[in-house]
Amino acid sequence: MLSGGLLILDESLHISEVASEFCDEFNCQPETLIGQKLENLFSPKDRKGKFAFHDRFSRNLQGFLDLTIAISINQTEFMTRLRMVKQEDCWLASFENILADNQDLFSELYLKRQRWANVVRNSSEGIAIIDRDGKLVEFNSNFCKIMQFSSVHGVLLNEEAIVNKNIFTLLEHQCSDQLEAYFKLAKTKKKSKLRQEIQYQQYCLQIELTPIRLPVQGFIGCSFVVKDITAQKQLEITMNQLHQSNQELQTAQQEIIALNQKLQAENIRMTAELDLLRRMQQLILPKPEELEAVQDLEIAGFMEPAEEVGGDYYDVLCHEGVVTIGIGDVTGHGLESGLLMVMAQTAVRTLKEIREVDPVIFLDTLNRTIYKNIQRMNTNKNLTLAVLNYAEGLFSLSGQHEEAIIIRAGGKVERIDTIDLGFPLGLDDAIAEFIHHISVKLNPGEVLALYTDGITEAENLAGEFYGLDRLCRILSQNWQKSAEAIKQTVIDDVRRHIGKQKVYDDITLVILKQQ
Amino acid sequence: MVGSMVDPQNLQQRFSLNYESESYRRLIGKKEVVIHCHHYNARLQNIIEGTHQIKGKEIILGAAEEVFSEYIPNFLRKDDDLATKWQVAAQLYAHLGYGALDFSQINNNVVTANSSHFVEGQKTGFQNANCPICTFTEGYLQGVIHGITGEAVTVRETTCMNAGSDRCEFKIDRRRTTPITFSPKQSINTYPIQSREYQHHTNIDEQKIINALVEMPFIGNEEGLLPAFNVYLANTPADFYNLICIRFLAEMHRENLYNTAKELLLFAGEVCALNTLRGILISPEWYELIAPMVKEESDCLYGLIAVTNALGWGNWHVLEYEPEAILKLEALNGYEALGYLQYQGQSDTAQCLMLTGVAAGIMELLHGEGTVEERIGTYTSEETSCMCCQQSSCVFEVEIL
Repeated sequence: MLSGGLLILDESLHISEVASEFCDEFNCQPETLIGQKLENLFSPKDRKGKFAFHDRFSRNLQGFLDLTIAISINQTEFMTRLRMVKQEDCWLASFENILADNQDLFSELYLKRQRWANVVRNSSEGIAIIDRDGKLVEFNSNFCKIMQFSSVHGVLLNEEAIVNKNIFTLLEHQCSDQLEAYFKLAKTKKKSKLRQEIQYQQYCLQIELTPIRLPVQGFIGCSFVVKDITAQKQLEITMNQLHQSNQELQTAQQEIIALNQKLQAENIRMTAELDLLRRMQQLILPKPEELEAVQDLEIAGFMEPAEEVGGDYYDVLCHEGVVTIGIGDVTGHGLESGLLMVMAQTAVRTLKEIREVDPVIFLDTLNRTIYKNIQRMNTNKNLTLAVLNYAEGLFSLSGQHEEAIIIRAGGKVERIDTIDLGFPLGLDDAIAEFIHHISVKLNPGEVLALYTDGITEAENLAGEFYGLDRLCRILSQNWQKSAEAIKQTVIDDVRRHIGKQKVYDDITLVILKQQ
Repeated sequence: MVGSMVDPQNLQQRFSLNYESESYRRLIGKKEVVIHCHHYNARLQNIIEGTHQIKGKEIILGAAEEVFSEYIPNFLRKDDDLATKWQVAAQLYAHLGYGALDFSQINNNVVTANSSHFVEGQKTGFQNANCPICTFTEGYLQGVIHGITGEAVTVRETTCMNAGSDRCEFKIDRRRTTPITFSPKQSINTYPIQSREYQHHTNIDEQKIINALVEMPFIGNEEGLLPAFNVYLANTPADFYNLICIRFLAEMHRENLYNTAKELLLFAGEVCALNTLRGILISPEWYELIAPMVKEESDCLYGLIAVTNALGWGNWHVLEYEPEAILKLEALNGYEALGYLQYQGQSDTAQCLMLTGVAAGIMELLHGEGTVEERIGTYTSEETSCMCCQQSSCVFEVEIL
């Protein structure tokens, strides 16, 4: 039975009659409507309603339509329920004003649905209703957006295509078995809500399944609420990883602290040992009283290592009237160089004790001794070494080292190149062919200076070397002083040159002044 | 099948795409083709066949038959034997993205298909009606058989994958006595406006998008299907769409239901835009090619317009855009307008219903909320200028309701 304002339409949907109730309800005159097409009443603002009308009308086989649509009469909009019934040669159309003051149940339900539809539409969660067979009845857009059901070719299923599809079939079974099992139980037993997390494609979803029970009908289906918690899970995983990393870091930190403490202890021990070695190194240097005991020669010596232990060597040995002065420089500096220096000192003293006076045999034997030890130590160090033997006013110089400097009376400088007098020790096991010697006589007051390259190559902050010329100049300017004074003057000048620059090499200086 | 098979690779070059960059037209076999998705194809079929007042199936069948009868000869060579011609027919079907046809039993009056754009379109776009759905294929087969042999036949689908079968089977009935009718086509002048300065968004490089999409091989895969942009695409001669729409409107007019037909076609375009363009917006192809250009929300509109131009819908551009409120588009050579002029001549009313619907659909997609059903109808669109009405271009104005 149709109720509301009635219109009678011809086969082509033109209005042929208007019931008085229609005019009363919508405040219009029948003569303004008769002859018009039905669709002229439809409000241009309700395109959805218009489409629904045309769609249903074109498919209609039963001769009955029922839909909601807005109409506009005399510029007033009405939301109506339109029902049409096909008669033999006409259509009956009734319009009920849904939003009238005297609302019936339909109007009430319509408004309630509109309100809740708005809430559901705007929800950030995906919401769907499934019927008692598990088929999708309706859903909001976020449900489709989150689920993104696709065909086997990866093509998205349309919203229309998923209506009436079984949700558990659409979900891949491996992630929906528990949900489906719960759903089946919920049909017959009173169950409360199920909340479950599932891995779906590359997403983690939280799904809440809540049975819907109505009076009389009982279980009619479930609400299916889905939330994409992938980001949240990722955050949890990241936090757990961070926590684990943090714990690992803390453990590592503890280990580092322990190691550090151990290293510090080691460092202290090694520093002590190095310090001992440095002191030992200083202890084997010639004592002042030994230098003073040398007849006819004033000798002053200085050695300062760059690190705790140096690689420079000098010694003054007296034996049966012959004074042997040695000066050398082990490559590099530090512990290994220092050890090699001590070995060299010991070897020289040994050769001196056995009265070996031949410079070739002396240096050759010394070289072989050093060489074989170097081979055992598996190190690539070597050293320069010059040996001077002094007796009765005559110096005999052999071995390869820095140039020897002679300051004659008046400050005249003579330089003796030792390049042809020997070969670096420890590089080869046989160097006899390279060893030669020269003799030098010093007159009283004249000076012979021996040094290592730690003096001539001492750098200042500007990167400038001290230089051999400057050394010669200082020696020349101070030749008249005592050996000790000359030595100190040179050392002071070198230190002045170095300034605040770091000292990179050992500094050694030996001044010999003929009495 | 009598004769020997030709290497499919050798035939493939017969189907190569000729893209006219000035007019954005896509030509295969010297005929303009338009790329539409399963949403539009299935919905059009649904509307036309679902209207009980007319014989909608015959409209689709007749249009497909007519178009492909004329079309298939463009791909045949004088020295092709019969087997090769069937192979061309099968390969063309697959190339265009309709699916896979097997002509091996054609001598027994049977053709089969084990994949179908229309079946997949029905499954992914609608509640499955579980009934035979391959009307287009019936018409295609009638058309190619006529084009190859000169014989007018009736082809009917006897089993369909949409109805649960494992393949679609088509039986050929050679007792047909009625010939195929061909609608006369007038030639039309070149487009009144070739190009114009339009509102371009500096962030979106439309030409780069079009070039990239033209380079993409929009051809059927090994199943003869074309899944891309989250939809199934197909290349279809524009003539087919024009014929079915023109005939549908004409038939409905005879039943005093012209307005109903118009509304339905308009909504088809609108729903197509909502579904298709939404699929495009979340597709890997979009993320790779266009998303990097999008810096502001309004950039999406220009990206979508570029995509539709690459698909060959109508060389249209933005005249005015106020996000959420107004959109005005101009099309310089929409296939609907040109097709109507060719088949019907001038008109008193605008005829570009698909583009009118799409224009509204674009705004509803970009600025609407909710499901497709909730968004549809929230904007109104009107074609305020149409080339069918002796105007220089087609203009579409969209406003929020």
